Amino acid sequence: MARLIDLASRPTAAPVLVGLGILAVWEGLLRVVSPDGFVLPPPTEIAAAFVENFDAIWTGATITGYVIVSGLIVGALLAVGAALLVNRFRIAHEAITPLAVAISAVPIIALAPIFNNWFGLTSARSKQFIVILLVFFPIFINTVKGLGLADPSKIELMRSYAATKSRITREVRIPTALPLFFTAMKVSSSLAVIGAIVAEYFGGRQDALGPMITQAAGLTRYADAWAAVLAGTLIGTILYVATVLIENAVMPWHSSVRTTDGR
Amino acid sequence: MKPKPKMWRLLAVLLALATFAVACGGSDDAAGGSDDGELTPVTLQLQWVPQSQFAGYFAARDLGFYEDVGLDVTIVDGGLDIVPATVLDSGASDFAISWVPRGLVPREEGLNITNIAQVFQRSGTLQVSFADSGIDSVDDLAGTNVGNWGFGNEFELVAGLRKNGIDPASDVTMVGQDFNMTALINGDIDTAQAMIYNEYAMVLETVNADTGELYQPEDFNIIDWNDVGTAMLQDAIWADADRLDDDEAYREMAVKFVEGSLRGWIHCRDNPQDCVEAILAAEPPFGGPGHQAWMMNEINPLVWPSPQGVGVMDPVLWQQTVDIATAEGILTSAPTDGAFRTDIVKEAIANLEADGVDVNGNDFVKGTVEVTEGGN
Amino acid sequence: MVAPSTSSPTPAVQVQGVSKVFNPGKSNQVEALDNVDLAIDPGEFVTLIGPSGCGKSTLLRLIASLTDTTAGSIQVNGKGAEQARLDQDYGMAFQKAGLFDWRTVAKNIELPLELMGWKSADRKSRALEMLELVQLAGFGDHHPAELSGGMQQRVAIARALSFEPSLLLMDEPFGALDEMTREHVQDELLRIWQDTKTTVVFVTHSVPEAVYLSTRVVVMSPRPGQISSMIDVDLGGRTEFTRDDPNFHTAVTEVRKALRAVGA
Repeated sequence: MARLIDLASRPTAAPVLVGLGILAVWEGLLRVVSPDGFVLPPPTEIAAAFVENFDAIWTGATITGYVIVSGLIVGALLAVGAALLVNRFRIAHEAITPLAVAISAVPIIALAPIFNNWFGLTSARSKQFIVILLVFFPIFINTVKGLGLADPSKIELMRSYAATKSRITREVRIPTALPLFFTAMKVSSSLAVIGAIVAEYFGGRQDALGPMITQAAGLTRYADAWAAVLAGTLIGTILYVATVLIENAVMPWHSSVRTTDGR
Repeated sequence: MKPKPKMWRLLAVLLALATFAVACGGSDDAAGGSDDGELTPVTLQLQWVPQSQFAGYFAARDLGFYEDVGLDVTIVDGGLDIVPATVLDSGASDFAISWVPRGLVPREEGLNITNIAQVFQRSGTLQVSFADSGIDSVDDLAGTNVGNWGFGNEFELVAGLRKNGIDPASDVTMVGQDFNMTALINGDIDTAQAMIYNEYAMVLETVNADTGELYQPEDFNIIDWNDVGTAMLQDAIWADADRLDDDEAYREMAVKFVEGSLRGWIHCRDNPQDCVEAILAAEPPFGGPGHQAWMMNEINPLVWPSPQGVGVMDPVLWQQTVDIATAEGILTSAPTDGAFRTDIVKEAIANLEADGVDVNGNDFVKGTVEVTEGGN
Repeated sequence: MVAPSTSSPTPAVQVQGVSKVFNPGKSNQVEALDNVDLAIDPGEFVTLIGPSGCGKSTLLRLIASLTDTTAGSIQVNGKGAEQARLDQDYGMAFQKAGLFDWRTVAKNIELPLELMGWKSADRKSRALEMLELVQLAGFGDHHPAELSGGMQQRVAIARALSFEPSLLLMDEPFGALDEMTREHVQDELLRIWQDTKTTVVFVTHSVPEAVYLSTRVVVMSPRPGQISSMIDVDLGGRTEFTRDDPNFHTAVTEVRKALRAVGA
């Protein structure tokens, strides 16, 4: 028992134990209260469905995953590019920022059927565009903010060295913006997953994850539906972890702060 | 006065109110509910939006056939996310219209529902492609983009593909299409799912941009699952099986409901225009008068003739549906006993025959309806 | 006591008739400086001191050409202040060390050299030299967050001097340091000043610091900022005993008198 408590106090063990605990309670509770599970089956049934449908789920994950990742990357590139322009040129700020705000107010998912018409039902393009639109605004607005947070005294220092505006952006503004950028990327990862899957509800290839979920639910095969949801969750988790890894690689100075006990 | 006891009392009251609200909202007990005058309230869940596909029920409601048997029927629209089997099983409706496979799969998952009247004898599902696409038969579908609606609407298609040695997961690209023919016209899909009474009409009601005239039937190739041999039974009236066993009043209600409904269908056979008007008077239906008239005209041949009596299950047709479903992996095994019953519909038919009404339609002849542009 | 100005062919800094008004014509208009004249010879260590609002920081920033004059002219190294900035003629150090957290200490020192187009090998060796100079050898690969305030300030000085500017502008660079570190860093600065023969224009609130470091203390008066008096300081080479020297106290007193005269 003491060893268990000791084990539980390690940083990685705690969340794992809590997660397992929740699964155990979920399983146990359902077996007692509602043996046929129905809308929310016990985790063992979902796991079984996942294994049984693995081939289809894997296909779906690659199709939907491709849309998610490509949409996220393109959206991020556009957003960062726009943020740099807006930060540098007043005219760009007046032109782009209101447009970005207006776009963010549109219920983007409602555009899915329109994009299906424009880009074709079977192409990934229409779903990618939904993802791009969804992730653009958070990344754009956070990067703009980050670029603007640059310490004015650092900028003055650069001016004293007769640095050009581009150089100032590269040496001061971009490093300042990085933490906010990565936060936005983490948020956008989940948005991308949601956006891709929901966009798929509106028609297109039926071997993608979205239709897998809705079709199974429409036929009351809920274990299958949850198994596909699980696949989507895993994609989102992988994206999040990847973002954290990249963040740590790109910003080593942050970790140096962490290791010196917050001095 | 200490704050604590007061707060606990308030919480207790709120909790009681909440429980009360949940309890009241949860059960939609229609049978044995308050008798307003002499009519018993009944709820029917449709599989889709109000259209001539459900003309019999609207006619029965509007022409008083339900009232005559003491029922006050509320008809609830279906839609994309609405699963009639689930609505029925939860008690939110007393009866539901559902295609047979779309009732059997949830039944296999544990929803105890039963088919009490098989209204449609024939399937209306088609796969439609342009005449110049070269898709003349199921074999030609290999390697193409096959549009379909999913959600259990594609079972006949899947069965037809497998029967011809085509694997839906790898030999074709199954594409989820909208409930119109836009994707076909755009070229996004090579073949579209269409009901002969609905979406097929949509394309005939569309102007061909190349000719400036409406599309003609000759412009298309049609695959009819009745011909391929994988057609499955469609619109039927379903009821809650457990409730039928436990609740005598519910069973009585079921007989009356079926009787009223069938009388409506008979009226629509003999007076299709009346029924079209009933549909048009409903909450705005999909498609204009021309479209609903076409639909009514195509629905009737799916119902009539009914040699065994309208609504009575033909065991041969049932078995065919079950065989296809199990052979092509739509059901994991044959349905257990009680998936359908004929006792209720037979009682209803006896009442109708006693009134001298023709319940077979053996002399039925399909009419002709002109296609109107845009279905107007 | 106003000393005769040492005349040299080219003053390092020549401020003539300079006025600076912020927000001219608006309700929050501020006359920061009014008709200031100041000549600084090469190699001098001049400190600007005065009460809040006397414009000493503004004057420094005008010399740095980080803001424009409203009237008058400023020459640095015989050219206009703007040109001097574009030619990278001076180094700066502020109260906030202003080190870039995302660069290592060595890379921070290399920053101006990068902007001046130095080759990588030259930059690296110069950075090492400067670290030696400020006695932080071995800390090159650390990040600023790992260093104490005093160490960070030394890095800032190393950075400011890395390209051997002829002019060094410093605005209260030691304000955030504790007493002991402050004295230590002051000695460092003096040592470097003597070794490199740089001209230094220094801004501070601290009278002892001004006297300790400078060859001349310029006292400014507020609203609008003007030069009130200039006091030469001649204490010879500074040692650990300088602060106890009676001459030191005399100088400090003189400066304090001058400050009181302007209401500080």
